[in-house]
Amino acid sequence: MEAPLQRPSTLPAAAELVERIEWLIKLRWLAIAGVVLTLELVQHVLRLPLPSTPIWGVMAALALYNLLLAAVRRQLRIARQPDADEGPDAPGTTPALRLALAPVQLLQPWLALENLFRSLIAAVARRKRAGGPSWRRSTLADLLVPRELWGVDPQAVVFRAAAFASAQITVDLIALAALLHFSGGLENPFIFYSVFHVVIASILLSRRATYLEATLGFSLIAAVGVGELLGLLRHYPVGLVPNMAAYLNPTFVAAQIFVLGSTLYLTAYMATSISAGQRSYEREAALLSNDVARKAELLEAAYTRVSQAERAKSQYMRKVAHELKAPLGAVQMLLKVILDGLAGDVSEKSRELVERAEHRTRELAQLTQDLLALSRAREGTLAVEIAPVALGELVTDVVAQTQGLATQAGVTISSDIAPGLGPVQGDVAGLRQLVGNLVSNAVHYTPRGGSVAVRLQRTDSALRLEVEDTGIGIPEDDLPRIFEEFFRSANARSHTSDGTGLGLSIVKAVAEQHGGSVSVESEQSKGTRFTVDLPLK
Amino acid sequence: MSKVKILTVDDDRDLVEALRIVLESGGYDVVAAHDAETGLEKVRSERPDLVLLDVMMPSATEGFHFVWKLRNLEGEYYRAVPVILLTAIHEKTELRFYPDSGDGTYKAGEYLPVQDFVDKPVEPKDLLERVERILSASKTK
Repeated sequence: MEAPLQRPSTLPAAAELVERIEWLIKLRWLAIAGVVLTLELVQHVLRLPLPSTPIWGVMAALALYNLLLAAVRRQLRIARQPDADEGPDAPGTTPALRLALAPVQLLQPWLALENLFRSLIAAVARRKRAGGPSWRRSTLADLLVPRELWGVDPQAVVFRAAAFASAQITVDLIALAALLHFSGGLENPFIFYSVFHVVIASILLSRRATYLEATLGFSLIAAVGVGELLGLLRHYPVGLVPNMAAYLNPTFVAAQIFVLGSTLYLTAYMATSISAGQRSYEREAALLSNDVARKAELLEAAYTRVSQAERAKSQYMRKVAHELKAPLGAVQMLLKVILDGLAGDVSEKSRELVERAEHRTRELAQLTQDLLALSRAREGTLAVEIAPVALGELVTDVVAQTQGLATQAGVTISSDIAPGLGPVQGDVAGLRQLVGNLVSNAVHYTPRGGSVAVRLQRTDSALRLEVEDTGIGIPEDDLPRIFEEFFRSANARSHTSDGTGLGLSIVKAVAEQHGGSVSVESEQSKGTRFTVDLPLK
Repeated sequence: MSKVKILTVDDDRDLVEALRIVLESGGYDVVAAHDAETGLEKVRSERPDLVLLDVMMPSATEGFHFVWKLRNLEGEYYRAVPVILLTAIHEKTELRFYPDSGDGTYKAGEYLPVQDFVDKPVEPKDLLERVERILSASKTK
């Protein structure tokens, strides 16, 4: 047997069992109605003599029991109780439920017998092979619960349902035996209706319990026949069999008992085999579904951990970049003081070296700024303030600020902003950086005489920013990588050594932070077009 | 007439040294304080004509607290003395205490009672220009 799952997330087997028990309760009403109808038919149409009072009594008792079952069946649907006592007296058991379950105790003598038998075998086996596995007493739960359901659901729930089913079948068999006794005993062809009980037992109970119920039905009906044959029980003739004294014919009694017994046990064998196969399949499904649920939980936990780690990484990056800023600012300022001649005259050579140092420091400062911007965008909306941003004005502003750079580079820059664009909800600093990076990139990577066009328009659900240049373009092989951190394509590097390789990573991070996206089309030596969609919320 | 006196409040001594050289080259007297508390003391004792203040020394909001404490001191001088914030504020959106004018630019003094912001890294010429402009504006008042 497989080890029970630690935390079953569903109770498929028990739920199915409870459903079938409810079906059984409904079926019993039909059976009672059928018996009553048959009784009327036999008495008033066929005019056969029947002792109606005791039969009515049996039916009334069965109806009462069924009422009790209907009343307590809800208690079967108990919640998951991992620590629940494995017995019918588990917490939440009412006197009514205990009463409904009482007939299951009729199986106790059988269990005692079985245990006695097994202990004898175990004693013999121990003598043969000392130190063998110790023998465990069988309990009602072991007996009743189908083996295939072990470990799928909490034992207490399954056991309670199985005990409930077993009690019902036991009562039904007793009622059937009583009815048969009052209606001709073995002469009554309805003796074979006991087959139904065996089939139902095979569906709801374990193989052993099914054989036990078959044995119970067989013993009760056989006892009626033998009792009537021996004159221990009164015979109520029905007149169905031509030979009115068939119940007194030992051959007839023996034949009926033999056919009944073989029918019941063969039925038990076939039905339990089919049920076991079916239940194995159900068990697999249940275990699989529990397994899937557990794996989903694990996946979710792993995802949470990864996100947390990602966020922690961003926060760390932000702190480091932030710590770098103050010393860098001081270094830059000191170098500027020297370059401006405020600290006295410097030689031409020294001046050139300090200029280089100042330039490299500026690169470093740009890198820390980019790292800060990237980490802020990666942290989602935690590190920024979301407010309405008039993107049209922001784009106009950025283009105006880049104009000087463009003029210097001999690149014309134009903007086309659709009128009446509403604001987007966003982080103004991040969006400014997004637009700024795209526009200044376009100017940087466009040779003298080229042009840059910036367009902002509205699509169905987004604002679309396009930045198109007639620049050096991006090699096709590099296109998938250009949004990676620190990636710069070879032609970009040979065009200018400036650039941290973070600009487009920031563009992508900011676009995604705003629920948007960025895409790129490019042809080498022809130009590049970046398209950013920012959803309007 | 004595020289115009400027108080720099910044915990970065190297930066203060650079600021001192720049400001002295512009003909100003420079007094330095390296934390907010000493800064407030020096405002009282030296009564500078202008304060150059770092926002973060070392915590993110100490510069702001300095401004509020300064403005709440008893006396017209403390409400009027011009303050320039040295900041890399555009990098720290959570400290965007000044309102966005809507055109993407920020206006000093609308929320925090200071006269100007100077972004780090400080451009010496730019700093001198701003200091001069603000001093002449405060004199005409």
